[in-house]
Amino acid sequence: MADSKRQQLIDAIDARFKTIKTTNGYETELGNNVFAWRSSPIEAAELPCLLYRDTNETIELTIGAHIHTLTIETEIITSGGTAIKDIRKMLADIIKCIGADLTWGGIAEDTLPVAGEDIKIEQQENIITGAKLSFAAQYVTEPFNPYQ
Amino acid sequence: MSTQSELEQEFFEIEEMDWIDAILLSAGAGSKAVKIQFDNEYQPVNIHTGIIESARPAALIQTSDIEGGGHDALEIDGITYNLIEIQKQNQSIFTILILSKDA
Repeated sequence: MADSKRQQLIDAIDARFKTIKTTNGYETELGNNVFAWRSSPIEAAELPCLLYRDTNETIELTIGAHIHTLTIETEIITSGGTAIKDIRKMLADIIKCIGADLTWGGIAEDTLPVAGEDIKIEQQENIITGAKLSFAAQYVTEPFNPYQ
Repeated sequence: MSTQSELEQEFFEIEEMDWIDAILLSAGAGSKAVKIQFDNEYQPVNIHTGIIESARPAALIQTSDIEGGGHDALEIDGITYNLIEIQKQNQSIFTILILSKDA
């Protein structure tokens, strides 16, 4: 069964995020824990992690095509002694990862930044830091045909 | 403000609970053995969208044990917790210490 272009795009994003490792030229190992639409609580052993969600999608109508702009929200979560400098490195790695190929293997037409870095810190048993970053991927389908 | 009877009730309720040994650590001022009541209830954190498993450690200590200030940490069962917040209770002989493993 064929996947929709949106699903293909998400699969490409997921696979790309999982390449964020120092062996691939990145500064962090964020790719070891990547979760899409994670709903269950995250255990300490799973940190640091990268969460992402495909949330809002807008569709622009043109002659013979629908232009989709899909917003992807990403969030980095770390715990313990991870310095704020390391959080910024992780954010930089995500930006670098997105920029590696703005078409996600030819599935999208382009990728655009949406919102910058939003960092928050909570201190309980450990210091827990979260940083949020959003981007949007544009892809084209035939009218009312999400598969082509 | 608490009345005398409320304070007495609070004292006797707390007295009935288990007190455990701990060591109060102070930079440059050595350490001091104290008795505390320790609580480390599960309290998940929601930073943006993800829910992270966590706990909220806190200790109840006699106010007289921490008077003078300069206290940095509390060692409980071999684990060192940093003192994040010292919540002195008005008119109470007890103080709540908010703790964290991270400074």
